[in-house]
Amino acid sequence: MAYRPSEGRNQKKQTPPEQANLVPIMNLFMTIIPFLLSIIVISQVAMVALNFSAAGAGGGEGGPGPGGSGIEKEVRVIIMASSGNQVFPGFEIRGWEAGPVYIRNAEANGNYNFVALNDALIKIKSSMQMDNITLVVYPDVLYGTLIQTIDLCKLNGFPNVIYKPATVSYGSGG
Amino acid sequence: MMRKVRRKFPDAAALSITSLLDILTILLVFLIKNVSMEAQRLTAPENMSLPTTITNQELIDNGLTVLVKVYPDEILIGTDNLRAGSLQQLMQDASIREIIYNYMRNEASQIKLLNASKGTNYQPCLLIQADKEIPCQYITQLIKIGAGASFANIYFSTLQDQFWLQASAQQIQ
Repeated sequence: MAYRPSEGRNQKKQTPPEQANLVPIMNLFMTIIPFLLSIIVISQVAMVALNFSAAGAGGGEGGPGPGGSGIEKEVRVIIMASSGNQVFPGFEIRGWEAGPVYIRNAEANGNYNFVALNDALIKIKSSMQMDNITLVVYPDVLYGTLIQTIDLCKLNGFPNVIYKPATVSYGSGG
Repeated sequence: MMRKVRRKFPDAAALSITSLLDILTILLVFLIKNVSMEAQRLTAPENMSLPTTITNQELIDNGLTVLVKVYPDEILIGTDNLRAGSLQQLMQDASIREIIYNYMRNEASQIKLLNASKGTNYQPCLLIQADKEIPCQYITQLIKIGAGASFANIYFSTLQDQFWLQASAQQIQ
């Protein structure tokens, strides 16, 4: 009895699989990766949002708080940079029940005392329980100082920071 | 009798670059994921020292940003960095303010047109990138122009630094 020939006999001799040519794709990668590395951002860029009011319009928040008198209280942080009539480099906080707070640069080696401002904001937040705070900024205050003040306000639970540029008025003042 | 030739050295094994290719592929995917065009708009500009903050707020979900870069010597508007003039011109020259206003107004109206045509609800956001040494009067002027041009959301670009308050405390001691 004859058997049919094995199929293996008809097969061609196996050759080792050809290795894919990776050189072009490596070239592409070597071009793209340095480019992407060059444009990647190493420093963490953040953003700070700002609410601002039209002149005298206020924040326009909801109704008064429980037991409130109906008149919305406003705490104002005034940032000053130059000296003058009732003006000094530093911060002044008005509208707090405990009275005005003066944080002078002269008492902090000529620098803005953000630590004292931070402490004052913590106390204001715990005593007044409000979300709004108004920043009144004099024109010569540096932008970095403004942003760091906004940062402290937001850190201490004042998400709605209302920006008001300081207005200079002439005549009888209060 | 045939002479037997013996090789002195064995054949050099081909360098396998497959594993290197794997690493590069992973790296490429990671980089492409992180580098987006929107991120490019929000990167720190060169030659500008941004102020540092601890807080980092996200842009509103449906916000489309219009960028204003404020350098000590010039103001650049838009992603194309169109030169709008100097800081002094911003305060003194009404035509410069009008140029900036018209640009912002045009950008805001384009966003509104996009909303009308596609049924979206994008909000125009003004993103100000300014050097920390610039006096606030210029920033105030830009905010006023932006508010007049229907920008209700204004953001400031900063660098995140968790320790700036501690550094400030050391300065005053």
